[in-house]
Amino acid sequence: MSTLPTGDTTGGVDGGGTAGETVEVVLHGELDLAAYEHAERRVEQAERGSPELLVIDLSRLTFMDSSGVRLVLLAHDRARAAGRRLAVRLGVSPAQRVFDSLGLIDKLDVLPVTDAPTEQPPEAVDGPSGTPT
Amino acid sequence: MRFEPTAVAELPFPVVITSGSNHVVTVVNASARRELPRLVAGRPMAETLADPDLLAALDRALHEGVEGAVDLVDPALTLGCVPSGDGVLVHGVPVGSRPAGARARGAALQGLTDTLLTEQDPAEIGRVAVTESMKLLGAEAGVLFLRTEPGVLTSLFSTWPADIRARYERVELHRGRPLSDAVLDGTPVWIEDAAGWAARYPEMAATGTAGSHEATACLPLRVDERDLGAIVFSFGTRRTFLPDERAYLQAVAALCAQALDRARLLVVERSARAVAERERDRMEFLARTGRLMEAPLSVEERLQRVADLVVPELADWCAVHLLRQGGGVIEQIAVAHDDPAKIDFVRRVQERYPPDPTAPGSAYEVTRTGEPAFFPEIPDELLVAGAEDAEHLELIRAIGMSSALVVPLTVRGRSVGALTLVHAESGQRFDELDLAFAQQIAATAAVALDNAGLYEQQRRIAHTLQSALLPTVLPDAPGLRLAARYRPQTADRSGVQVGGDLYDVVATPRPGRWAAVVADVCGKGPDAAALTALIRHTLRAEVAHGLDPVEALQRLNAAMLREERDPGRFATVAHAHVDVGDDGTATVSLAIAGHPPPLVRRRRMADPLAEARPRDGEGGEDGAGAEGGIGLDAAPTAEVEVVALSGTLLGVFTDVATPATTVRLGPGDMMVLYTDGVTEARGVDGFYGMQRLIHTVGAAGPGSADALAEALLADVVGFQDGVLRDDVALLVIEAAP
Repeated sequence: MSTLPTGDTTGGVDGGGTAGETVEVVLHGELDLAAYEHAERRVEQAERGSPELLVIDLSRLTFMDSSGVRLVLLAHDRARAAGRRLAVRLGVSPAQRVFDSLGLIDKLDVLPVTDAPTEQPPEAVDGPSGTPT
Repeated sequence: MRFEPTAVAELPFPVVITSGSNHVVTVVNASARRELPRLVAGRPMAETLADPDLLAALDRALHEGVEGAVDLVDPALTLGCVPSGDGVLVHGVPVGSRPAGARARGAALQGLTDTLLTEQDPAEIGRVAVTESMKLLGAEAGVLFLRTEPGVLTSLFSTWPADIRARYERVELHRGRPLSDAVLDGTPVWIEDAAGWAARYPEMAATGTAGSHEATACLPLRVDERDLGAIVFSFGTRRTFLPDERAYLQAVAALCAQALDRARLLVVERSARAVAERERDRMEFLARTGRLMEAPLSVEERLQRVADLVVPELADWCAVHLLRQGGGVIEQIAVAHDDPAKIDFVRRVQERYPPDPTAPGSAYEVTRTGEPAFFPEIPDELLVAGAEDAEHLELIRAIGMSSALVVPLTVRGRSVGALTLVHAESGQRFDELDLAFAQQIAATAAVALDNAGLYEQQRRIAHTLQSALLPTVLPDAPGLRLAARYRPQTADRSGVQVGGDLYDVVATPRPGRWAAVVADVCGKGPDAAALTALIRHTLRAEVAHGLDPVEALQRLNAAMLREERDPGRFATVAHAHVDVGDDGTATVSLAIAGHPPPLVRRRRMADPLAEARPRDGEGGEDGAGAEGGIGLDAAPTAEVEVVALSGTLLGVFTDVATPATTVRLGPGDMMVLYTDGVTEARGVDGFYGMQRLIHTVGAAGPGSADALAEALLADVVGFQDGVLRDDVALLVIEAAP
């Protein structure tokens, strides 16, 4: 099998509505270059309400490359410019591994994964099709 | 404090600098440490060298701004005290030297140091060093030579009259002459009188003492072991060079050499920046041209857009011609110039004097032959030759062309038109690089004529750009074996884009030390490529400055932030200095910024009984099945270490961690630097991962850097069934056994 996942399975918004002054964008499946634009649109949509705190939950991604880092860094930049707060949830996930290896854990506001139990072992890469939860 | 510690460190006489009213010792150079071992940096002078005369002289210098000299008994040394900023500069001279002269020299040296530390123009550095020293020593003339090529000195500044100066403009080094000996041996040559000439250079005595000259001093200019040139002073009479005068001149030479070296490095850094910017601009330009070819426009519209892009960035004029009507006629499809009146003017000229299709170098001729025409300069004779009559000549002179180039538009090997670029009122000249770049533009523009070739062209452009970012060959580094591999991401339907992996190895100013880098810029496209070029050229410049890897990465981060071109665009970098030992070893000083950890493969084999068997049983743990393929069948047989450093990615935060470590490579040991296209590679069995990487690097077989790089690339490519999701770059550094 030589066809690789395209990552277009990045899922819908859980809790995408405003909860007080916090908006959370939860991303599922695979976040790579192919899925980047879709994910970026989701984040920008969430920014439109100028929430006090925007949380991007990457802990349920089954794969993430530098596209995901870029997504967060750009959102981080915009939040700082607008005086908003941006945080990420990483849990124990492929995203966490990438952010850690890039030295970003200390640089970002990282929230624990609380209300979102992981339904599968995060380290397990569940095959080439990706698995939206 | 106006003195830089580095500026006085190598002076051949004691220099101590104090600060504040307690005279806290802030700088002690090597000579002072030898001569005045009681001195302790960071402590007040009174606590370490409690000489009442010295303390009084320091007070006078600091509070009253008065210079003074103090004779110490133990050691026997005269110390001159000169006010300097918020402290005092204390310099040692041998007892018995002429005190007034010593003071004057101390003051002059201070002035000279200030000038040389800030001056960036080599000619001005030469002028100050030569003329100030001449005044102090009463020399009749002085020359500063730069070593411009091996074995040749060129005069940078000279006080000789023009006729003599011209004769010594360029001097070839020949052993057995005072100036040459000074340069070749790295030690000054002092000749005090005619007898000195006769004794040391009998054959040159007649020349050396011609025109009633007698004494001369030739001082080499060196920084570390590098030869920069020499300063020569000539005296009209015999002259004894006292020890403190010799020390003074050597100090001037040392300061001057450092200043010249700094000035040279500044030029290197500036030109590196200029090259990076030019490369970046051109990548963006080609990318814009490429995008234009995909726009929903007619062929004519696209070619007009290309011409509009070219002007005025690359040329004052641009024209595109195409073969029409089955190849029988050539038509001008597009023309661009900033001033529509000029376009009109040229059109009228062409209507009145239709261009001669057989004229060499015309768009017609270039289209017919498929060979470019290049006119770096357009002399008036060329216009005269091309003019039909006096009025035509006047008209084409009025266009004022200064430089021109015409390149063919080629589709599937067939020339179908030409792209013409002309410089006129800007007065600029095209060079060979412009010609090559115009051919790239023409190749991109030709896509407009051949949509079927679009994909192929994109691939070619990406390849061209990527190779501009990577060294064509690694340098020949004695004592090391180097091997690198680069494989771009496999093209998918979005086309091939130039990407952001980079490797480079360059020599450093220190002999036997090499600088290596592997970097990964996130993303693809012209912005990523521009950042890749910036990283390569900035690091090259920092390496030329002699910065260590940590400093270089910090400066690179600052440079990336200054660019502020593209927020969120970041890079990870591994940067190392490799010092070759004389016993087949090498020492790697490595700094990491958010980059995957390098591996070290030791030549020493792991014990096959102790290591190999248990490993067989662990095969499944790295996520790759036992049948996963290449490399896993063989048990690891070499010891492999992971250099566990991580640090912060560059280009986003002002404050980044760039941790460093030192790794010793024994003979045959290899360090493997790579990008995450290796570890993040995905195949049917999941991620390639660190375990498989360690396994492959340690596998038996590859006994050289090249073999290891080849085996590793093959394994990574094979693991993904030949379809690469990301670029892969590898650099293997081996201490040559």
